[in-house]
Amino acid sequence: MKTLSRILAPLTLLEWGAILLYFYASDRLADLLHPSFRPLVLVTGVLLLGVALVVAFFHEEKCTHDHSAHDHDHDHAAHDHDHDHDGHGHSTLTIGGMLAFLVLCLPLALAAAVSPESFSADLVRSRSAVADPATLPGSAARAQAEEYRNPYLEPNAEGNVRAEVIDLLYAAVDPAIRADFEGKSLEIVGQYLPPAQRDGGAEAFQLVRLFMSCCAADVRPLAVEVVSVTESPGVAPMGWVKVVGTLTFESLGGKLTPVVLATAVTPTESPEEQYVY
Amino acid sequence: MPWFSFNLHDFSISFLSILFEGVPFMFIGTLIAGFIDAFVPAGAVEKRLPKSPALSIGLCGLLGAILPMCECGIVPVIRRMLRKGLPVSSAIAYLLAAPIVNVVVAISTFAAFRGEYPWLMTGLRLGLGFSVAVAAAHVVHRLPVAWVLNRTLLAGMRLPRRAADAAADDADTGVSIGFANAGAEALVEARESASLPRKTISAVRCAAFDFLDIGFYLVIGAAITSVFNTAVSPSVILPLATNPVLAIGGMETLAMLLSLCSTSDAFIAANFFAFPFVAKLAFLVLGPMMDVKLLFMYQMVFTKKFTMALAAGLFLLIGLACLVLNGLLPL
Repeated sequence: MKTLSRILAPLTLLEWGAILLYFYASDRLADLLHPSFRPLVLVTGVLLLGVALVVAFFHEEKCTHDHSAHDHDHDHAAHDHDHDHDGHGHSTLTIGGMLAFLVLCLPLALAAAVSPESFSADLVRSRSAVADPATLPGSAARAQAEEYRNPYLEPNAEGNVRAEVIDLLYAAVDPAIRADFEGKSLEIVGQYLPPAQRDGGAEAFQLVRLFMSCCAADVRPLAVEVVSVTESPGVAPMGWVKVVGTLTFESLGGKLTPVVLATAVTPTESPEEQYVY
Repeated sequence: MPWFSFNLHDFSISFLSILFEGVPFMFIGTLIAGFIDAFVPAGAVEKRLPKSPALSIGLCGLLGAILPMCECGIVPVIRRMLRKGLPVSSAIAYLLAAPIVNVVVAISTFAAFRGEYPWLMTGLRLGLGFSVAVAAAHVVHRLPVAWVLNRTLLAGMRLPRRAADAAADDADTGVSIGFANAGAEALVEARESASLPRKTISAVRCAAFDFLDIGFYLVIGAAITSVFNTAVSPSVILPLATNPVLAIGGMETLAMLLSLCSTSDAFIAANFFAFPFVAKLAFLVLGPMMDVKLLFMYQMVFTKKFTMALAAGLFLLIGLACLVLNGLLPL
């Protein structure tokens, strides 16, 4: 038990450091965190590995740690380390201590094993879509970007102007941006979100991009309506599709809502960054 | 959609994202705490503070402006600073105010409320945050230390002999605590005269065990938050928006359940269009001070009774303040 308690702390730190570094190296971190936070995860992962080695190989003979009164496990269950404090030793790992290490190790490992790339369609539907992109962080800078002031957006080789979902939301509130996109053949990539219950008739769905402020827990959907004259694209909800079509606007309650009349909806690869920041 | 629908995959994304966002800041906090423990001499902190409790509390309430700390990282720092002699009331002021009264939060709040009285929201958030922190600190100043700090921390603190004896009586632990223990004094002196490499190793080891201690509570808090974040339908709280009392209470409850970082919560709050201005203010003031995650992490420092009382007290005080503002502001 003494050996077990002595190795559990550095092993736990190693596990945390290794999982942080794995997520960074494998790019899975892009599914979870804003780019500005990712280097911190790398640094923390490396430092945790270093700290684990220090804990494993350097033992303090005496320590003024907080645990000179050790009569309740839950406050420091992770601390049942085996050197003397103030004259009384505690070399056994209690049940509470074992449970604490399990709480530290298991949920992280399990979540890392099962977490997918994207939230489910049901969750995205339950979160209200962003109606006004001006309320998003960084929107002032985004709206001032050069591309929005250029009336001659270049079509690609297929003759389509490349646009993002957020561009179309801006177009709904800004006449200058609207002129760049309305009536033109556009190509937009996003995630396919069909209605929860399909009524039949024309294939209508929402083309979604998820906006992230800090981490995946705070994402909100940016969505435009797509009315397609073709059949369903044959992807699962929240799968990635490329939509080619023409942008129009519908007036609802005095506000313009962008609608894409699609001529082609095809499955496509997810972009390098699945979120909009 | 049903009001409760749990999906393990959605939960795991939210859980990991909260952990990965919070862990670096928590780790920074434990490193700072570890180095404070190893390098700051006992008693150094209280020597530098004003003798007047009111001034000390006020100063610590403003300290976040120059020493900003995320709510995840501040708990280990406070724990160590208490052991180094920081008065409990001053610690409370810094603990509650620092995650709000800082430049980063001011900028993010202003940016998020661009279309809705940004100066007013930013000023009220910082002002109310500071006021509530100071008020809470003054209340704590009048409470017995043993009722506030948990026994483990109390046993390791440097208290004047009279306070240590009084704390022992209050705690009724039957355990000899504080500096009546000459052995503890000798250990502190031996540690403070250790070499630089030895002190550095000690700092890192302290940081490591603080990280494990606090990480335990962070994992539990992140798990509970992720259940509410992904399994509970937001439509549950929308009916509350029409009544000011329910709106404020609802947003405060949401702030506690979502456990958002104070640097980004303003953007979430700004999008609750149906809710009144003061309800969003309540969300932004309570969230950094008390949420599900902090409810667990605070128990590394405080007694369970005090933590619950602090949560209830902050909820009521901030709610009442926002209700009064609702009557005063022509919004």
